[in-house]
Amino acid sequence: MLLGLGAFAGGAGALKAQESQAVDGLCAFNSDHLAEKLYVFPADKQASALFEDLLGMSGKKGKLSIKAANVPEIAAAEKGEQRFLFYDPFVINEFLKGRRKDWRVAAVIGHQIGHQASSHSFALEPRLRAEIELEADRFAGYLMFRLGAKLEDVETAVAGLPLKGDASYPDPPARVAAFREGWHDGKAEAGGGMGFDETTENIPQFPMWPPPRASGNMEIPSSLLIKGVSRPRLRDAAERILKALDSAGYGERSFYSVPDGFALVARIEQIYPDGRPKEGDARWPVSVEPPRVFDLRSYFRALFNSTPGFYRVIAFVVTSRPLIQSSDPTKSKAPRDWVWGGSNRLPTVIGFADYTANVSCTALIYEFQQASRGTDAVLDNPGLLTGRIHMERSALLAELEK
Amino acid sequence: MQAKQARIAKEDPLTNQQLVPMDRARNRLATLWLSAAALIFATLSIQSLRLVYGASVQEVWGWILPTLMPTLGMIVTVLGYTAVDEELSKAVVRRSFLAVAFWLSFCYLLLILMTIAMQPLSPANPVDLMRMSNLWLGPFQGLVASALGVLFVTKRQR
Repeated sequence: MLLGLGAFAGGAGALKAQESQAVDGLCAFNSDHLAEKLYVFPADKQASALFEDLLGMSGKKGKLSIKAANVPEIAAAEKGEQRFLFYDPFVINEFLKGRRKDWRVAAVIGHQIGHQASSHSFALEPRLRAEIELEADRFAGYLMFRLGAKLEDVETAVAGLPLKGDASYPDPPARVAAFREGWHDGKAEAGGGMGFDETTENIPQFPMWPPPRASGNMEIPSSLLIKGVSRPRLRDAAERILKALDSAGYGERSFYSVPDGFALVARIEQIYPDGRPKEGDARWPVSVEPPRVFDLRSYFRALFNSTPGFYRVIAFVVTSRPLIQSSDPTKSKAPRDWVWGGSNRLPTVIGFADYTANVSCTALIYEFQQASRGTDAVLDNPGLLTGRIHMERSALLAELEK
Repeated sequence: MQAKQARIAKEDPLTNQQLVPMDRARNRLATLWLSAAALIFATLSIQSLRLVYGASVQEVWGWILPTLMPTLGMIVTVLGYTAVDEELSKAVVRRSFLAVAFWLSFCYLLLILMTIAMQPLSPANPVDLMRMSNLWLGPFQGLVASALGVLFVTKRQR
């Protein structure tokens, strides 16, 4: 293979230019076919122009060394500060000559350029490796849209890729979703909008980031969310929270994407001042209701006593980033409506991300108080109770601990 | 004596049974208004002190004072005036007009009380209910003020 590669790269002259290349880390599909020793040759102009054009589409211009090499199709690599793009000249030649675009090769090219455009390092521990692979997949999907691929082309191309899911790589469904998401990003950037494509997996972003300062919060121990899971992912945490919400009687909930994670928001509920939710149907109205059964005692109590309303919104934020809360007062009313703006489920691309040691789950509790019936409910900040008490009285903590 | 009565009856078609002394009429209306006003003010004061209206307490009193005070002011002023001038107490009023004035007052005061009493049974904001009640209390107040004005301000004597 090496001899043939040398001949393609320019006959005898190219042979002279052949040199072995050591790398610190490398990414290649079909890595089973990777030769033990890596030889590189000067790139031809057409291939260089192709890669530079594609890299330019990302809006990034880094120092990238493009070389023909004995790699399967195309590989991204690094050696110290130097970044490489290695390609199999036969494959790229076919790609350039082909009258119809070979979208499978385009997906591979896009993925490897995605690594370099995002300045990924390959000398990483496995959990981070999985994250950068998904990011490169998203970039590939984006690039394929820019090259004119339809969503079906992307799906067909990705189906032909040797995707493997192990400790270092995300599961194939997550990767397919990442390609799709990238394609939709490209479409959205081109003004195409999200449309009603049923395959889309984009979900709304959290309405404001960082989130407004909560009345209380509680860090949910990871052991409660991912216990007994050998390779925990964000979807495991999401399922655990959903189950707890269901058991604690919460109805509607909404998923939002947040940087490196997701947020799950429960419906606003009416509570007693001590944090217990109101019973039955009285839990859900967002106003203080008159007594349902008339009796003189409750009537006079209502006539001569203030009837403040207490409300609560719980948002679980699961992310590997540190959570900072905004203190912008203009956003303080917004949490009441969050449950109506998100998605009903977690997209695969987020759900399949690993629940690493960096990931934390924080329950943000927004308490609202309505001074009297019919008046505006305002955010209590800080709240009357701590986040932990809210979690206990809402029965969510007990459900998570089960 | 019988001749005198017959002469009076001939001059004035109204019999004594159809007439009520103005003093009694005024006292009857004043009793109604002052007791209803006391009940309303007591209720609103307790509610205000117990923060039933929260920050809207000023709006609540801004609603009740113009609703009651003009009429109450007139009633108390006239009662005081007649207390020191005996001549003004000799007037009479037709019983039927007193009944009209009384029932108009009664209904008006009942509507005000109901606006307050209905609050615990309504999901609406109490201040909104009070504002809404002005729609019917306003015209009603005009009628009541006219009726009471005649009764309390007239100086005609029989």
